[in-house]
Amino acid sequence: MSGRVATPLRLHRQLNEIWASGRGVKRLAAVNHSVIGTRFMITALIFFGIGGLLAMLIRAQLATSRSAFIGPDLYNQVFTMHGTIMMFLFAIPMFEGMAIYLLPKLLGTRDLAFPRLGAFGYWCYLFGGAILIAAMLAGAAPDSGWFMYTPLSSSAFTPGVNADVWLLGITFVEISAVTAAVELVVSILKIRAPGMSLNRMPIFGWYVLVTAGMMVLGFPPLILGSILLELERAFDLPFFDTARGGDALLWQHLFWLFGHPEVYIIFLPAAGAVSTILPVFAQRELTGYRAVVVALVALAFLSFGLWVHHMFAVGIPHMALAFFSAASAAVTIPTAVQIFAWIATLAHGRPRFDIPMLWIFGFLFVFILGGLTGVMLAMVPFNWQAHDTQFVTAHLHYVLVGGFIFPLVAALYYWLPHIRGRVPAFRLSMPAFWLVFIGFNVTFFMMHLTGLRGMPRRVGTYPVEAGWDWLNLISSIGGFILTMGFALIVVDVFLQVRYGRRFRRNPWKARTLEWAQPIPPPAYNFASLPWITRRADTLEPASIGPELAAGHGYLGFARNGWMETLGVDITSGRMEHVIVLPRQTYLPFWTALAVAAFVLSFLFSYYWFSLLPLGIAFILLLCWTRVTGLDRDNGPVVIGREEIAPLHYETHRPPSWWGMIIALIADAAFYGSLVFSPLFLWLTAPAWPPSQTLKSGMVVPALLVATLAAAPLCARRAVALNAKSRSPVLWLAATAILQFASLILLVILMRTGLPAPTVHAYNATSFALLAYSVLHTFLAAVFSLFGLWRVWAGYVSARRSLDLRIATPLHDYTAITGFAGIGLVLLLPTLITAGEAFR
Amino acid sequence: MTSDHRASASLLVWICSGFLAWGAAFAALYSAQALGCGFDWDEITIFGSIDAHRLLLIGLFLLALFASAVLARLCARLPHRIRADDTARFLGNVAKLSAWAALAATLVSLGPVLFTTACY
Repeated sequence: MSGRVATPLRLHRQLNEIWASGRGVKRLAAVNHSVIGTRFMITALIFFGIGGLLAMLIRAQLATSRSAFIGPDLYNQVFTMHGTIMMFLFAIPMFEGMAIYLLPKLLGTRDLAFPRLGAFGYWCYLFGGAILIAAMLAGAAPDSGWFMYTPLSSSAFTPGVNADVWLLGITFVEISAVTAAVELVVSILKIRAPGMSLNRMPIFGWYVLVTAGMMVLGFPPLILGSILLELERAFDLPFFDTARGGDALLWQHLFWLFGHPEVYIIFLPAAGAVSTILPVFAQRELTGYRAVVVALVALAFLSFGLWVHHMFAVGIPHMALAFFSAASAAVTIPTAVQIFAWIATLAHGRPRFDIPMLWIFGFLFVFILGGLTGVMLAMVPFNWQAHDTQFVTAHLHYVLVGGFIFPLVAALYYWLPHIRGRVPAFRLSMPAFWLVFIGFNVTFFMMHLTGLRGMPRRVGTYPVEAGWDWLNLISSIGGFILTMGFALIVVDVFLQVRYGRRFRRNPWKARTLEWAQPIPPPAYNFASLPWITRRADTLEPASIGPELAAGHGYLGFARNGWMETLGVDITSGRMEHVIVLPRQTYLPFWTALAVAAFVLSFLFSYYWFSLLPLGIAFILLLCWTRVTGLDRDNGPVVIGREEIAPLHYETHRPPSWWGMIIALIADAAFYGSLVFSPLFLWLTAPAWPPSQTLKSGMVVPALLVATLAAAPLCARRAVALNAKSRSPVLWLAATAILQFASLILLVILMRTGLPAPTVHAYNATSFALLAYSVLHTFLAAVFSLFGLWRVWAGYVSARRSLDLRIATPLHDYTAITGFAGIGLVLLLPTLITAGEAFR
Repeated sequence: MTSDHRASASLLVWICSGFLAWGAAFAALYSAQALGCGFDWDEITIFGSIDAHRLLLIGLFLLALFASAVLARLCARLPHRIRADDTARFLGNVAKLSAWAALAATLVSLGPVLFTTACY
């Protein structure tokens, strides 16, 4: 810490030296949230452009009947890639980028909780997306639809690598989604400006918190489904093969368990942008802040109870149909609460008009129409009539383009001045809006009509006699108008970024913290951190900004070259500790590259070789820990404003502990879906019961239960001894040994008791359950060894015990899932026998 | 975990509690419906025209309604029970409204056990 108060310029230089990312090749080491967020957004927009070009190919093909523009094989790849790119490579990463870029600025802090994880997530996204695009250019793109339904995507009907590209590439990309979700949840809960309690948080923070929470629970079922299908394709494990006890419907359940919340995961952040922007132009704070928060909670949960409405036509009893139909209708209520809150805000305010508002009005028109057709599709009788027709295509575009693209462009025009420090000099945005609005409605309104006239989705040609020609032609013309509109936006944004008029601060007279920053924002965001005494969307950035720049807030100095920010209590926002973030590093880049090598090895069927890059990735991940922690007790440090606080290494629940908890919740969602699989197959799949089941005796399972139960007890004993300043080494070693013993016993059980997993889905799912426990016992053992190393290296003391405590939830989780897995594998044969007798 | 940590985390759990109960009830009823159909519980007659499957489903539905109502009642008292700062009051109110919304969602989305065919 410098001995005297620095001038704003000196302080800027000192902080910039610590926080700024390097140039040239050093840019690969960037971990700063502004850099990572911007990268996410730019990359997502490039993918959006590619997806848009594919949409033009689709519209060109469908413009006339019996078109020979592109053949059926290519058409299958084109429409599959269009959906895949827009959903996985554009919408979700765009949200991630927006949240990663904006959140610390809105929350009055310097960065997110896990900067290296954010960087790693970006590289995973880029490499995964690149694999998909490269496959498309090579003519080997996925071609089974963006939802990859089995058995079409199974090796019997898609023998090439097309489906593998999707399964591996998208799973790779999903790593970035889950890492971003964990990072966002923990950051919102733990890293805000002091005093920013949850009820003072800008509403965008609530939207991102809820969305990221949904991602934590929603993405694991898809990741599981993709892994199971890839295991079936690569190693013939019959999870979805009806002849061997699998079921194609299992894929649909796992996919839509993710797929329906996905719609809201896409919509909610965009609605969050609307809830942030609209009050600025209404010149009034958001009406019904509390009601909107309740609506978000309701919407998040209800969205997980709708997934079967994508499966109404597969043959489900009336009662189950009614459950999901009613839930699908009910979810419109929290959505409507938000819409009424926006209308009330406008009605009570003094609205002024500018380009972002134009796009918000476009959003309201298009999204509400999409919502209404959504209610129609939630009704089972109508759904059966419109199922798999162009009506559904029209509906989903009205919801997703209306609910995401329109607010996104509003957000782009609203925050672009913040990102680049320039406001528009030209007004191309106005004609661009009308081109997009008219083009969109001409394109997709017609699809309602073609759908009602019976035109199916995903068909590349149709006969003249069908009478769909003129509607399709109008739709295609609309598509090209829409594209011109987007092209004009690109030109407009380029002109604004390059030739826009410079300004100082806050062109919109907004009242949130990001406008209290210097523009464009420096790498450290705020020279000192604000303290918040009222709701953080009713602040005065013009007076706060200079105060913070002069270093009058918290942490208004540079210390030890540390990247410091503050951690707070989850709900009250009371200041708790100083968080020292890791500096710039190439490790996320190299780790993602190693994972990419693993994915490519697997894709080209070099299964044994693929273990090498996987091992390298694992070692690189372990290297991440080398720069964290302290080798001596530090005690509280000065944080400014005459206050002191401990470093996060020396506190009870720092962000990394919460990171472990949130990661385990995601893991539990994965495991819950895995447990669901054999139970679902047992009840619904044909070719059950299996001819052979597990034969293990009681010795190995009993030993396994003992070792699994003893490991967390030993881990807790180690933590307790460490807290009394006694050596935890023996107990840590015992924990590691017990976890390795569990691993060996699990392998013995799999090799000696379990019939070949390729024979029947029961064997395959049992194999997957035990393999899951093998992986977790291995990870738990590594965490114990890591604890030992940290003790040996001097990073652990009674006060600095995080390295030991962080593993405790993992040991507990490993034991619980181990018991559940072994119990299910052992009990299922008994249940099957009892069930057959009962039948 | 300190008492402050517990208080903080518990308020967030309370906010989710109503809909967590709804989710659990939804999963339980959907599973019971599938199990009953899988093992022909609808062919076991209990009271006149009411079969074992229907009885189980209605029982679970009533249990879910009861649990949701109890939670809503507990959450309704939260704003008065917890320490009287703005944040706690705000979160208590959010929990209360969420719990009532979850009770309504339970009634609407699971009510069909009363009048729809279970297995056809």
